Amino acid sequence: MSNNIQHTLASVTESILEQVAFVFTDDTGPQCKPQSSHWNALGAELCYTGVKNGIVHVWLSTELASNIASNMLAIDGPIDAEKAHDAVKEICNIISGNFITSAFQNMDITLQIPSLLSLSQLTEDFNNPDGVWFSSEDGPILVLVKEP
Amino acid sequence: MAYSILIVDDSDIIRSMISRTIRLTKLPVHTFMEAHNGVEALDILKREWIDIVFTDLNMPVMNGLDLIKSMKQTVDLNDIPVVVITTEGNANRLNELINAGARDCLRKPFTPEKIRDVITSILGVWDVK
Repeated sequence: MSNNIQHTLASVTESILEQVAFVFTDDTGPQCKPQSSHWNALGAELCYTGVKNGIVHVWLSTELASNIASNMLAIDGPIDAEKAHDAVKEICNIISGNFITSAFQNMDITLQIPSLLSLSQLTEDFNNPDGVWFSSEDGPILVLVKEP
Repeated sequence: MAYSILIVDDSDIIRSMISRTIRLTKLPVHTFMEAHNGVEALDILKREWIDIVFTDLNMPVMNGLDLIKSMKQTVDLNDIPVVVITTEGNANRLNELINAGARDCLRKPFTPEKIRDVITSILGVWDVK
């Protein structure tokens, strides 16, 4: 993944987290990675096809996903797992759409429906050198674009 | 007089965000109705009075584009304005939606001001207090 694409992905992710979920990242870069790939996270992916093909993966710490769901719904109190999953998918959806528009302008690209990632994918993504890492008050964030 | 609004999105969170954002505009709303996809939306549209539809584009079962096309082919539904709320910014894709009959397209993330502008430009302002 080119530096330019990574920069666009980082910039879009920060902006969307702020605007949609009221989450402000503290730092970005490999230093934000957790110690172990077995961190408590929820992930979602969105495939895009057309002139460019690829997949966007977004991983959020479970606590952060719950807080994002609370913020998006504007409610206090406990959030059930289904809403946290919904929040991760929607954050992935909005980041992907805005990233693709910023990175590829008006290229003819179709977005698919976001879906949840299984935890078995987490180790592979954790070790992917193209991953863009952020830290936040409620845990790490990983965003990754995979192109064939 | 107040609006009856149908929100179509497969995400519970996004449907909730859209209705909350519309409430923040202070525009008069009589009823919010919700559907998870285009098929559910058509079922509601055939039974209920709806002034305006806000729909997602990419949904399972029936997407937003097919919903618009179905509405345009149905005599009792083809005058109901549809606004697409999507993450997509591709000009060709947005033109396709407008050509199919969408009245406007809003990008996610959206603001109360943008939603208010769209509603008032399409329906006019009714009894805003």
